[in-house]
Amino acid sequence: MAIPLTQPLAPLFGSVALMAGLVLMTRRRAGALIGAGAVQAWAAAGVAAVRGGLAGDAGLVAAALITLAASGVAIPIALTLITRRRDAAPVSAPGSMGLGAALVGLAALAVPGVAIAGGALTRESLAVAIAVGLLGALLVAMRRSPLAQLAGVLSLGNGVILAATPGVPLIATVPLVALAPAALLLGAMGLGAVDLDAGATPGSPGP
Amino acid sequence: MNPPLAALVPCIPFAAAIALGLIGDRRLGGRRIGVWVNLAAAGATFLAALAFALEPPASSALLLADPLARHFALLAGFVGLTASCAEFGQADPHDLAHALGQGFLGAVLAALMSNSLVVTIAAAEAACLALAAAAALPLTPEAMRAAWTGTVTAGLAGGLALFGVILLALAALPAPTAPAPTAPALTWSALPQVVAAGQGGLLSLGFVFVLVGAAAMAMLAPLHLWSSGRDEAAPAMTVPLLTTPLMTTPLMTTLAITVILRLRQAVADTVDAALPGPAVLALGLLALLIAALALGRQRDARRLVAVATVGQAGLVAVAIGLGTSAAVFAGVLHLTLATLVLTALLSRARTAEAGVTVAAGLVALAGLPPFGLFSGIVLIAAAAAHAAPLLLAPLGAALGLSAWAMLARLPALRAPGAATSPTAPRAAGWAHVRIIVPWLHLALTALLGLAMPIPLVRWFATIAGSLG
Repeated sequence: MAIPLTQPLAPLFGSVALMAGLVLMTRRRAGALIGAGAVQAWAAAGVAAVRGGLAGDAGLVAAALITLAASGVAIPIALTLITRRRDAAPVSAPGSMGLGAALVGLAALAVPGVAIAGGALTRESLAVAIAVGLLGALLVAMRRSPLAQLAGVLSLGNGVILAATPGVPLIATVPLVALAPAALLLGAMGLGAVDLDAGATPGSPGP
Repeated sequence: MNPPLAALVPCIPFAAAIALGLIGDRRLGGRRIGVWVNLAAAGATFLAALAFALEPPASSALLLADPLARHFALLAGFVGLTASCAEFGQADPHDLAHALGQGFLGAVLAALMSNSLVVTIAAAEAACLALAAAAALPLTPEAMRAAWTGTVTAGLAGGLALFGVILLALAALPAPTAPAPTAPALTWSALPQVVAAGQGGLLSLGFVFVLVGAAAMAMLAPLHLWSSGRDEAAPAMTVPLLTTPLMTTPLMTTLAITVILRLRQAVADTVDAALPGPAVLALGLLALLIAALALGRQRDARRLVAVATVGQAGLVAVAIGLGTSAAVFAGVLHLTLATLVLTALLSRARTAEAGVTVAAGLVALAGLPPFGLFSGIVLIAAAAAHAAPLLLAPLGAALGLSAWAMLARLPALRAPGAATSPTAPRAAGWAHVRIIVPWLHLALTALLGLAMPIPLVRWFATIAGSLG
């Protein structure tokens, strides 16, 4: 039986999303954080689009489009305009990478070794989705800079999208729920209501 | 009441929030129009909630009309009304405070009355965001930091809970059929049947994610400890309690605890039996112990209320963790009364003349008669003695320490110039309303403690029975 060409794309995009999540953990430059977040959103949207397209699930395709438009395009552009030359606080790259790797391992262990959603989702795909979500949560909890925390909230939302499969009720509303706080945080940053240099050391480059 | 009319309960405050936002600070006869609109909307919401509670429609895919939803919708409507009355007696509330307060109330009611898990989580997150926005209203740097922490916490808690809902849905998905498998509607009323047919491991994972998200919203320890900045005034969702002008803020904890209660009861027989009850119980006990230790260090009435909220949420979580009908009865009763007392305290804790009211509220929270929280604590302890006798030792120690810490604060709070924030401006001729409202709440809790009417006992028994 021939495997559709699009089928291997979902695990590929999932791996890209996970790699982007690990990059988010270790980067301090604003451009790198925004870029990695955008790549992760594109990958998450790609996974949802492939799954939705293969199953003919309009809700999942809509969720993919919303994620792509908001998390992959609009928010990175707005963030780039707001945070010109501002960077997040320095991070311990080995420490963050170690914690991130531990979380990925934890996610792999947490997923039970059974057929998920009747085979619609592989164990590895779900482990990747959980890892991306947990990496986002860790980013929010560990980093003090507003930019890194916003990237963490977005990463958590991308993890939710990566776990979505055809047939999940109200799936098209999920990205909206996940992105609502990010939009508010972005608004607060845009209006200058938060100190964008919070958490940065005096030595970090300013505007 | 038919379902379309039931939809009015959350829709009235949502519509009022939009109207209040548009009205701004327009005045009629020297008084802000928004104050009247706020009061009228709260009154209409309460009447609609009362009709929903007394003549419930049948539950549907979107509407949940079980006894628990009706009870807490009525409580939210009542607290919303009394809060509006209290704000009526305040001369110069912020223009947007009323709008955000109505938006918050609408989101709480939508979450309580929604049968869809996704809508419940989305509405709970919206309520958190409304609180965070309200916390920003003073527009000071400290208020902005508080609002940022609230928003980030809302995103984190909402995202984790949503992740859990997706996992529950995945666990319940049947084998794929052409063209695509269709999951059963993921509703609260169908959740016990849905998870009964689901995969245990994935259900446990989903349960943990939703529990962590809801616990963060409920300010349960240790999740209340997370702080988004090193110089925050207070951590996580306790921040809005310290800064928001909204008296209804404790409803956020009530809502999140309700989510935990529904989830714990729904999965009790299907998820690994060692997980739901003990996990909720451990979170609750930890919150209670941490709050008991922290209460004695508080020097400000408002911070005292925030820490007490963590402790009360913990005590109710202990009851939910026990999971028996008697424990659920006691937990729902205690949550109801604690919400009334905490909202009363919150309305007065910012004022310099708050001493007597705050003192009475602290006596109530300490679990002393004649207030009804005494009954709640006794019932929870009795349920613990029956279900898990060893729990009585840490529970008793934590409750005793909390009571001692709160009572020890009484002399300082009664003294003139106690450690409170400046007095909020009051409208001439309406100042007494701000005093009457908290005392009305306290009188209700005392009445329920001294002599709870038999119909009310049956009401709470029906709620506990409906949750199995």
